[in-house]
Amino acid sequence: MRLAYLLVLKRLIHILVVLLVLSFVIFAFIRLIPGDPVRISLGPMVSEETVQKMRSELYFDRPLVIQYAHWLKGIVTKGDFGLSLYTHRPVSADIAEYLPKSLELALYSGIMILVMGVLLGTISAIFKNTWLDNLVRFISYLGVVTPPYAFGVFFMLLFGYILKWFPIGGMPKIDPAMTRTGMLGLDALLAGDFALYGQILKYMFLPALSLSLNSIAYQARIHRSSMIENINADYIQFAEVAGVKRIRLIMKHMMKPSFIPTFTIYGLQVGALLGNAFIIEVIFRYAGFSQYSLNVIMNKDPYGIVAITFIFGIVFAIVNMLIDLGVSKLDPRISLEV
Amino acid sequence: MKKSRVEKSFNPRLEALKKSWYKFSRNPLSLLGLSVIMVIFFLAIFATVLAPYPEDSGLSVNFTRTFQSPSRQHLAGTDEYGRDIFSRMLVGLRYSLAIGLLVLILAVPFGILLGLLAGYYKETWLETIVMRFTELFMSIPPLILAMVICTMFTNSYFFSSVGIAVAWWPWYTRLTYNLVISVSNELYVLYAKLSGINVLKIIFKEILPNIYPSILTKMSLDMGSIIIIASSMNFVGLGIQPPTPSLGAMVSNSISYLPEYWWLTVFPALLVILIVLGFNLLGDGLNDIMSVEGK
Amino acid sequence: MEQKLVLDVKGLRKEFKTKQGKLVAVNGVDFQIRPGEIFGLVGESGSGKSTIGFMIAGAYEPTAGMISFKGEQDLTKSYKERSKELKRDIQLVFQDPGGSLNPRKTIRQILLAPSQLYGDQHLTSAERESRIEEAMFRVGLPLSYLNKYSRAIGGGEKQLVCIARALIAEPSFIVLDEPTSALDVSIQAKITNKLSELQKRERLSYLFITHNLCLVRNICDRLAIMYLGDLCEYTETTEFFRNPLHPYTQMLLSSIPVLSEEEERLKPEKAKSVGEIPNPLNRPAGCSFHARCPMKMAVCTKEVPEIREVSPGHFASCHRL
Repeated sequence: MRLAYLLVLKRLIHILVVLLVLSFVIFAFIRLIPGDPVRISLGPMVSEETVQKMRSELYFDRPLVIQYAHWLKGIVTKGDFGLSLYTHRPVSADIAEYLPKSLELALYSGIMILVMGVLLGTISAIFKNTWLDNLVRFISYLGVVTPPYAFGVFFMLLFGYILKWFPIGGMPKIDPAMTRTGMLGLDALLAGDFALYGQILKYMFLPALSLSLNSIAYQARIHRSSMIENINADYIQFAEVAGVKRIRLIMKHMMKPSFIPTFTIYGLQVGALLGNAFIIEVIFRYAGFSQYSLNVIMNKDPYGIVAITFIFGIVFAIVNMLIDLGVSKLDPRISLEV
Repeated sequence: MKKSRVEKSFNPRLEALKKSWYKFSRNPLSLLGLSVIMVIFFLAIFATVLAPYPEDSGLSVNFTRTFQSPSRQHLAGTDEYGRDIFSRMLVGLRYSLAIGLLVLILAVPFGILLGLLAGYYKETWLETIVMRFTELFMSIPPLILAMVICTMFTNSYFFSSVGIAVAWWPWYTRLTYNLVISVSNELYVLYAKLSGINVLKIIFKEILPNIYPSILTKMSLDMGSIIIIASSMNFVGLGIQPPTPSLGAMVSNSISYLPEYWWLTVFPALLVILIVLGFNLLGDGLNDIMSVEGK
Repeated sequence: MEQKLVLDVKGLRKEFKTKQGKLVAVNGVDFQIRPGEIFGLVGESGSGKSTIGFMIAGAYEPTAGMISFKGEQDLTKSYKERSKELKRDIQLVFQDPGGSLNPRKTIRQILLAPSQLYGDQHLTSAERESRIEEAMFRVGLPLSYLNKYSRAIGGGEKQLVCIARALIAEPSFIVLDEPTSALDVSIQAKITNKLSELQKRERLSYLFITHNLCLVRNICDRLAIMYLGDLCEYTETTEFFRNPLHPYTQMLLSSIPVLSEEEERLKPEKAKSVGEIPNPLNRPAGCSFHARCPMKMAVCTKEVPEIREVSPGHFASCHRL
C-alpha cells in the first residue's frame, strides 16, 4: 500500500510538471492570437484609458514570462486563475459554479459505460455466434461509428419530442439555498429532496446516454474479445473439464482477468467523454463546465482558455492514474514501478 | 539463363497483392466498406456536378420553397432559406473528406517520423525528448486541444485541420514508437546493423515495411474519428463558416427546428454515420489481411 | 605449419547491468580458433556461449579482455567502429532462422543486400543476379525460391537462406549461434552436413555454438565447454570424448543417451546430475560449479580454479587436477 501512495505522489508531480509546461505553451500561443482580447471584451465604446488600465491589471502589458509567473503565483497563493474577460468574474468562481455540474454528468456517463459495456460484452461472449451475439455486435458497431451529437439529436427527437419520455434539455430549477457542492443531484440528496433528485436524473438521462453510447459500444467490443480469449485459455478449459459450474466459471474465474483490457482502455474513453461533453451540453442546453469552456474558447478569453486546459488536463490525468492503480490491483503481473 | 528470365517476369509483390485482395474480397463486410468509401469519394469529387441545386451550397435564398419536406425535387428537403439539403450535404461531404485527408497528411508523416526516431534511438536523449514532447500533447483530450488550437487561428477549414492535426500526431508517434521497439528486437534488424547497412536503410527498408500495415489500418479507422471530430467542431461553430455547408453545422443549426423539420438534422447526421461506417469497415478489413501472423 | 590464428580470445569478460544488479555473462575466457577448423563452444543455456558469439560478431562490446582476428584486427570494438571489410569477413548465423529474415522481403531481396553492400559496386544487375543464384546453388535451394517471401518457406530452408546470405559476403569466418537447435531433428542433420561440406569446400572457419554434444562430436575439430561464464575444459574433440577431465563435462557426457553397449562402456562413470545452473546475478564464490560438483573439496568454495594445461593441448579448470 505504501508503494501505491508513492506511485500516486510521483504521478501527481509528473502531471503537474506536464501541465505547467502545457499551460505555458498555451499562454504563449494565446499572446499570439491576433486582436486585443481586452478591447474585444470591453467593447468599442470604452475609452482607450480604461482599456489600458484593464490591460495592466491583467498583466497583458508585461513580458510573457512575468505575466505567466504572476498567473502561477495567483494559483499557488490564492487558487486564483485570473479574471475571465468573458464572464467578467474570476475564472475560479466560474470553475466552482460549472465544473461540479459537468463532473456529475460525466460520473453518470462513466458508470453507464462501465456497467453497460461489461454487461453487453459478457452477454455477447457467453452467447458467442448466436443471434444475440450478432445483435449486440451489430449495435456496438453502429455505436462506434455514430458521432455523439447524432445520438443526441436522435434521442432528443425520439424520446423527447415523439415519445415525450424525457425532457428535451435544460436543467430543473434548484433553490440556490440548497447549493452546497454544486452538483445538482448531490445537493438534492443532501437536502433530502428525493423527488427533485428523481427529476434531475430524468433531465440527465438523455445527455448521459448520448455521451456514453460511443464508449459503451467500444467497451462492449473489447470486453467481448477479452472474455472470449479467456474462455479459450487453458485454465478455463481445465476448470470446465474438472467440473466447475459454468455460471461460477464465468462470474468467478473469467470476469476478473477479462476486466484488465476493459479497464485499461477505460481511461481513453474518459478522454473522449470529456471532449464530447462539449457537444452534448450544447445540444441539451446543460449549463455545465463544457458549455462554459466552449464560450471561453469561442470568445478567446485568455485566462479562461488556460484555466480550462489546465482543469481538463488534471481531470484526465487523475482519472487515468486511478485506472492504472485499479488495473495494477486486478493484474498481479503488473507491478507498480515507482 | 532461360529459366531465370521466366522467373523475373513473375512479380512477387503483385502476387502478394493478389493474395491479399483475394482474402479481402472473401469478407462481404470489407467489400461493403470499400464500396461505401468508393461511392462517397465519387460523390465528393463530383459534388458540384451531381448536386441538383449547386448554387444552394452558398448564400442563396429562395423564400418560395422554405422548409419543404423530402420529395422528388428535394431528396432531403429544404432548409429555412429554401436551400436544397441534398445539394448542401454533397458539398459538406466534400469538405469532410478533405479535412480528414488533410489532417492525415499533416499529422501522420510527422507522427511516424518522430516515432521512428524515438523508437530507433531508444535509451538516448532523443527518445526522452521526443516522448516527453508527445506526452505533453496527449495530456489533454484531443477534441479540446484541437478546439483551443483552432481558435488561435482564423476560422477556416484549413486551420481547423491544423488544429486537429496538432492534437492527432502524438497517437501516431506513440503507435510507431511501440511498433519500432518491438520490430527492433527482431534478429533481422540486428543482422542489418551488424552487417553495416546504414541507419536510413535500416529504418526505411527493414523496419518501416513491417510496421506500415498497422499504421495503414489506424489511418483508415482514424479517418472516421477525424471526420467525427471535425464535424463536432463545425457543430459548435469552429472551422468551416457559413454559408459554406459542413455536415456538423447543418445538424447543429437545425436542432431548434426539431421536431417539425426533422430532415434538416437527420439526413446530415446519417451521412456522417455512413462515412464513418465505411472507413471502419474498410479499416477492419485491412486489419484482417495485413497481419502477417493471420496467414 | 605455423599459421596465423583466425581468432585469439584472451581474458574475455562481459557484464550486463540489470535492474537486479550486475550480471556477469562471460567471466574471463581464453580460447583460440585455427584456420580451417570448426570450433565448438558448448554449454547449457545461460552459460554465456551466445554472448561470446555476439561479441565476436560485434553486437556487444566486451567489458574486458581482447579478441584479435587473424592476428592483426581488434574485435573488441562493436559493429559501429568496425571496418566494412571486417564486417564482411565475419558473418553470423542466428539460432532463430525465422526471426533473422525480414518477413516482408523476398529471398531475392534478402540476398541482394549483402551483394550490394560488400560486392563490387560496378556489378550489373545480371551479374548480381548470377551471384545470388550461385549462392542458392551452393546451399542447395531451388532458384524458384528467390521469388518467395521468407515467411512462406520452412524453417530449415530459412536457415539455408541465412547461410546463403552469409556466403554471398564471402567471409573467411562464420559464427554459427545454435544454427540447428530451432529445427526438426531430421532437418538438423541436413543443415549440419551442408555446413560441414561448405566448410571443407570453401576453407572456412566456424565458431559453432551449441548445447548439443552429439553434434559437436560429429563436426567439430576442437571444442570448449562453458559453465556459468567460465571455460571449464578446452581440447581436441577426440581427446575430449576419450578423456574428459572436468567433473562438469563428465557429468554431461554420462548423461548422453547411447545406443550400443560398446559406447556405454566408453562413457565416464555415472556422475549424478544434481541441481541447476545457478543464477548468474548471484555467482557462487570460488569455483562456479562447486554447488553441483560431486567431488567438491573445501578449497572449491573459496578459490576460483585457474585453467591449466593438464596434458598437451588439453586444458581444464579444476582444483582436483
